Amino acid sequence: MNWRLEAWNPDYALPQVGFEESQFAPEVDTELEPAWAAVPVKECAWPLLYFVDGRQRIDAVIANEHAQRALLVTVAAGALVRDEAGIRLAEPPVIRRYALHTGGFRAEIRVGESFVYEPLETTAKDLRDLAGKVNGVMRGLEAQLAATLEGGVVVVDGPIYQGETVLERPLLGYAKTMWQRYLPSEKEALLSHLDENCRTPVFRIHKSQRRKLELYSWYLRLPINPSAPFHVGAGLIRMETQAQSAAQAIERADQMAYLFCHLASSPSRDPRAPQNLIPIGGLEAWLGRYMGQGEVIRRRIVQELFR
Amino acid sequence: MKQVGMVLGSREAGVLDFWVGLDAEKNQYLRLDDVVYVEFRHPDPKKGDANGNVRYYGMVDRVLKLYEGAQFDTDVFLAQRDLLPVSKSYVAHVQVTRLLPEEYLPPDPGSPVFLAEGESLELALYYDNMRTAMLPAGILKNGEVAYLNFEFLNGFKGGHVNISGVSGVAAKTSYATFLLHSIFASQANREKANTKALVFNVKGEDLFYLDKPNLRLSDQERRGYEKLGLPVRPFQSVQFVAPPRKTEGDILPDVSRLDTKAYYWDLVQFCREGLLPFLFTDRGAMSNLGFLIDQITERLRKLVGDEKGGQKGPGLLVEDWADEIGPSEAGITFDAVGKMRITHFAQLVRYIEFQLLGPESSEEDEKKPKGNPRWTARQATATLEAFIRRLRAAVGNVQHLIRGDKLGNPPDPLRAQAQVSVVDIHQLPAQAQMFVVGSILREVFARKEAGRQGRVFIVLDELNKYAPREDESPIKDILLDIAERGRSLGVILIGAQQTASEVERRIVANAAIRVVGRLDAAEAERPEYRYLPASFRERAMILPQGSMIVQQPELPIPLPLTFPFPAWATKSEEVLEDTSAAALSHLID
Repeated sequence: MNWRLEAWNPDYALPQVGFEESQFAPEVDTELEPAWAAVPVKECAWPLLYFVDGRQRIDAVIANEHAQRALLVTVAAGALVRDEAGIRLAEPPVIRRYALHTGGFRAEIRVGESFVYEPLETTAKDLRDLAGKVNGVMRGLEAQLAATLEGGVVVVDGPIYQGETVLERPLLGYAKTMWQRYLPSEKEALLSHLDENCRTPVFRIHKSQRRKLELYSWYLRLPINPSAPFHVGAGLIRMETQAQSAAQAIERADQMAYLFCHLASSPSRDPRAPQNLIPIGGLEAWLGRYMGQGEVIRRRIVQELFR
Repeated sequence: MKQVGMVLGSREAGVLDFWVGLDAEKNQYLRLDDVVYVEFRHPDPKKGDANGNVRYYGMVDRVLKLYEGAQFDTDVFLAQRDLLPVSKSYVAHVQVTRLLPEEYLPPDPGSPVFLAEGESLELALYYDNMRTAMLPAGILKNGEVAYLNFEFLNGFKGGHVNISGVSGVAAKTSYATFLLHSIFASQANREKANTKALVFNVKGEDLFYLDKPNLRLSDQERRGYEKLGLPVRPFQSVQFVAPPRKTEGDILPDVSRLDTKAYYWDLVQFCREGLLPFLFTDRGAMSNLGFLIDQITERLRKLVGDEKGGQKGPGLLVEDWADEIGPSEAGITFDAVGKMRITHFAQLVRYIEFQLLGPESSEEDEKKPKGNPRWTARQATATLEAFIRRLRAAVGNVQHLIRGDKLGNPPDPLRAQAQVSVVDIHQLPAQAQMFVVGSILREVFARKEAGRQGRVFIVLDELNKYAPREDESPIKDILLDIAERGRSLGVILIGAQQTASEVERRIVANAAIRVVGRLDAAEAERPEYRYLPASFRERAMILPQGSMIVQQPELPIPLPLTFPFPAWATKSEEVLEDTSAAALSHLID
């Protein structure tokens, strides 16, 4: 065995920072709806819904005899289905274990009988950069899973992933954090006085170098209770979808805005409320169970090294 | 073999108890009281059974469901609105009753758990040890028959039953009579001809219809009896006795049932059998008084002589009542040879008063003792007076039970033709109840001590009154004697009380079989019920009528069971009257 552990627990060594969308100025089209004004949410019927989400965990950082590093990571993706019969797991979750590296790790890393980390080579300039790549691996897994779901609207956590280009499938992504500005300043002013349960008009984001998808997007202010302690932007999310036409996108915006206002979580149960939707929170907990306890897995790895 | 679940790994699995997970998708379920077993491989197969396995039998004593991983109580509302995915867990806790072979290993998580049915149920509940002594005691929740080991009831290995429960809900008397029915009808009792029962009727005329079929017995209840292997019929051989009415004239029993016989003692029996102490229930309060009572009991016994050459009764003949006023005031008559004839309990009291305190007409020195020194036992006048005061107070309560006008007819359950003797005491004042119960038990116990064959089962409710934890009394002595020595003599007490905590500890402790019906919440917490696992104590507070928890020595856990509605009437409205010509002519004759 030619690999050894890094001494620090990866949770401490590598605080995870997610820069979801970095600074770039996309080209947007805001003239799709008659007026640039808040649109209150209207009641709609619940369609067949899927929720897809993933989780990731860095189990260990290891080094080989040439001091090359690799991250042992566990990524999981799962899907929930909500139909007349209730809400439940749509498919058994997909769990993958990878040894993420920039070179030097050809063979799979075996820990006991049951845990095998497949080598996965990528490019990164340092460890922190490498850790950032885990997110991409997870999004890829989510996209794969989403591609198998049929007959309903698929809600994915985060912006729509680049790989997902199937227009026939109603796919809806949403961003919980507002790192990226999409709207010109005069249009963006609407966000600061958007009431709860209201959305902005739909706008189109044109293809760009960075995102190779033609997307329709809108902002929604989720209800948050109590609302007093939170600033106006607290309940804001940006949703995006692909659509055949602007009309289809607006129809979907009305429907999904209504659903999301119902699915919003509350600050008392989720620190990422209200944007982290209730079913997504449940799915994350579920995935956590399938991934196994990090402590147990770390111990297994150490045991393996003692053999 | 029906698998119902598997041993959990998320909770500790131990030798004496473990948790079972139930897969709802496979429609697996377990209820409270279900009997199960777990089978797993012994690490050293040679020490296991023929297949190298170990089996633990047990009974489910807790069942739980919850949303796994749900952090918040309000998650249930979200789940209900189909917003939050949840997984429901359904687990059962099993209390181990038996290990075969006896290898104390914890079961492996994931070991299959099976429902114990047929042979495995018998093994789980130790029925294989009982063999021919299986006495039906009720029906388990799973529909199977619950058995008691009769050898722990009939005195062979153990004896006595103690039943606790709230009056009116716990159905203590019903269960006691059901047990009697089982004892008289079951195969387990092979000496039925030699088995008698003495039942004290303490409430209403509830037990005065034991031999009448019950009108309200449903078909379902009948099937219950069939399942138990017991005949659906009332008691076959019962005699009813009741105290006489207090009215003048003929001696009539004080109950509505016509064929009841009146019971009473005559004065000679009272003296010869030494029944005086049973009139004093607080003997322990004054040791001097106790000494005096013993002395006077002895004097009275001397006075009547032994059975062969002594007085025949019913009245008591005395010749040393040398008072001028007393006898004539008391209405004493003289017999042919000039002896005074005492024919009334009140007269006896005056006679004893004369012997202790001297003639009423006496005007001698007040300070000098005037009583007969052979009776007073050197007691101070104050003690003598206290004794007389108590005895006088008893007159109104017992004068119709201790008579000098007719030869005595005390209940004699051992010599009676009938198998069951019902002795009514429900209308008697407390003092008279004590006297009757004490006198009869003493008589029965003395007979058995003298070597009489067979067994007698004594059903006595309100034990807390007769054998209270705190006070001393002659009747408590008798009951203690029965509890401690009775089982070897064939005297078996089926005692009942609302609260076992108020009954003499040794009487409860000596009962091999303990039964609990609905308990008061405070009572259930008392140490007397610590033999019940905590979950059973909690359940005892909500037990419905007709449900009991029965503990027997061989089984490490109690059995919760139900017993069928009585096949005999328990009140007049329930009596299914036999109006056939034969029955009517029997009544007229």
